[in-house]
Amino acid sequence: MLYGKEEWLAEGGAMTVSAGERHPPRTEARLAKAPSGIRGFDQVTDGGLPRGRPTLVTGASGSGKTMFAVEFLVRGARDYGEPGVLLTFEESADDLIENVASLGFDLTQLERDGMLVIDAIHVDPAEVVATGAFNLDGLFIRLAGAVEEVGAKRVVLDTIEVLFGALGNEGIVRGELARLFRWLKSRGLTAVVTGERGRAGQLTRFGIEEYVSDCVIVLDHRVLDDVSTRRLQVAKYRGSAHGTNEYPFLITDRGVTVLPITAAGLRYGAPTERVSTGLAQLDHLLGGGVYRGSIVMVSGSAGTGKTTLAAQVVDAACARGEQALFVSFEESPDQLVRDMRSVGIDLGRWVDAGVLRMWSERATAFGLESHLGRLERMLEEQAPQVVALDGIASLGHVGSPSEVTSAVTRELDLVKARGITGVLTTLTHESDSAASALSVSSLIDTWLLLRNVETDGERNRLLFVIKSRGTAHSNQVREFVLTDHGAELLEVVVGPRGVATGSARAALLAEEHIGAVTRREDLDQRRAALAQRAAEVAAQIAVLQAKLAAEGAEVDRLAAQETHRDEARRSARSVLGAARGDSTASGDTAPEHPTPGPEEEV
Amino acid sequence: MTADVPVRWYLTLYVSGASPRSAAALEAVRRLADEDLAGQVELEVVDVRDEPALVVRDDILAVPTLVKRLPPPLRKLVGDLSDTGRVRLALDLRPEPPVRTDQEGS
Repeated sequence: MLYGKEEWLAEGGAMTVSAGERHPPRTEARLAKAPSGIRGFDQVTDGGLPRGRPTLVTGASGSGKTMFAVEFLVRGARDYGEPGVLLTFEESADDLIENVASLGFDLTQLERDGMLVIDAIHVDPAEVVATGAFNLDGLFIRLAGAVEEVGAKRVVLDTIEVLFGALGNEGIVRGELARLFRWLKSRGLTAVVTGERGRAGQLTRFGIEEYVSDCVIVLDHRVLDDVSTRRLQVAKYRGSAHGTNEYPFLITDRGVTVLPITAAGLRYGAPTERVSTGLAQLDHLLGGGVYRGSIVMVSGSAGTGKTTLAAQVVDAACARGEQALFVSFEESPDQLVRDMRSVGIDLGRWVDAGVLRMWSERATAFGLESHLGRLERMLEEQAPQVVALDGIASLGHVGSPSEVTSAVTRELDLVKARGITGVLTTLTHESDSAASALSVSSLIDTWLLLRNVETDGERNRLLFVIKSRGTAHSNQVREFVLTDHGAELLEVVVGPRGVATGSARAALLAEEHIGAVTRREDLDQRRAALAQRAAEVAAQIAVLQAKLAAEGAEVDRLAAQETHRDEARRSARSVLGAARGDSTASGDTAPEHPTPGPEEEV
Repeated sequence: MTADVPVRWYLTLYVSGASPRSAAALEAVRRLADEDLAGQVELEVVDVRDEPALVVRDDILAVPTLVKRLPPPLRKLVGDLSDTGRVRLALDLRPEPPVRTDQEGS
């Protein structure tokens, strides 16, 4: 292996790895970055590609290397005022222009504006006969001419490894490439060099990463479970922090979009404003609505009214005059409008008024990544305040669970990062209704569970607030009823057998009513009985009092009789005393023997 | 076709200033032109530094390069032409031993 030591040393000896890594401050000062302008990529690399240095972009054929490289030039020219040169060995200029037109890039216009030079170099190995030593002055001259023509700051060499095959003599080509990269650096050109992935895990077929050791980006295109996914990895970035994950990326009609899984780094703002869900009772349960910019997940089994609840939130947002986006993975917009009308939610008028955008898509049609790309695009174009994602569980048909989770995570990141209030509905099965099918609950701020209860030959719906971050939410269950004027929440009736819903609820309420009436009657009876008793008691008191009075009167009479008797005795005694000549006193004090005779007589 | 068309070989040699390799290539071409291709060759020598437009037209990367336009097929002889065997082969010349080229190819 040729390590090109002398080449690096020729750059001034500053390229030792340890120096770069051990002294970050110096690195910072040195490592200016050139924003690629590729959406998501600059986030992942914390600013873009190393300015004034070559970057290797490698991958199998069809992995998007050329697209990446071309976008780097186009964005540079368009957004950063940095003219570029595209040296391609792979296709004709016309083919290239045509190919990237599908990404929305008009290279011809950029050329006309003097911001871009495309130089397609055709090398046909069959034409070439190696006859001896050479150098690549021809290439240098072409490149230098093109760079000077537009005052280029950016250069793309796509795919320079072709030279190895075309020119034979590998040793000479290596030496010349080393010279080329030195030349690029000495000119301060930010370059993207593409390379074809080699066998057995080699970065490139001819090992050109030796010369481009500052930054290496690996692109990959795999098909798993019939779903194709493109991935990008920053395999190396000398002297710079960078995410080392594999990031999915898309090639859309707006160019390359790298989708950092959580590059947002949880730096969302946290608005304290509450927005109504459109259901006063639900707002009440949640302590006044949900926070703006939070994510509400409605899970439940089939037919529990998830979509209706989501529609209600959207309807409320539109009624407030906000922009809303309704993404359905299950129904067409027309069907959705019709269905929601049946429960009294008229989404059609909001669509007509231009505040609601509805979009339906079977996620299976395109795969998760492109789905995300389109979602992001819509969020960008419409800038809604509220987004409903109806039926994200159907994404589960598209990829493996981990992929779906990561896709939904990024979906929610897209939403959250923009401060959009999101409602997503997901299908769960009755058996595990308290678990999210997609294990994204940690990303959810408010989780509402709708559950069917089957009793008395009916299915009724219950709504639980499983969690609601930052809210003293109610722990209560509500019955969720769909009426012809939207959804409603009813206080649940708790009966002896638990929560009663539907007709059981009605029955229980009736029972309670009857019970109340009965109790009222009972009370009245008791009251009457009491009154009667009081009357009886009063009567008894009167009788007793009458007896008492009667007894009192008898006592008085006896007392009066006694008085009369005393007087009679006294008069009798005085008569006797007079007859015996005794004093009244002796007669009084000498009753030695009882004198029953006179007493009996009187 | 007749055997005595005055010019059969149209060659362009791209060189770079007075580099040793370019000089060697030029020397080799001159020798061929004088010997094997005497009178039948039109040789153009281009310095890549002076004629970038031609460099682009002929898709020249390596210097020196000898482009054989005629007879067909087009060939680019990359290098200092020191590998005489390959050079002769590429130019539709008989192998090395000095044999008179009084017969035309087909």
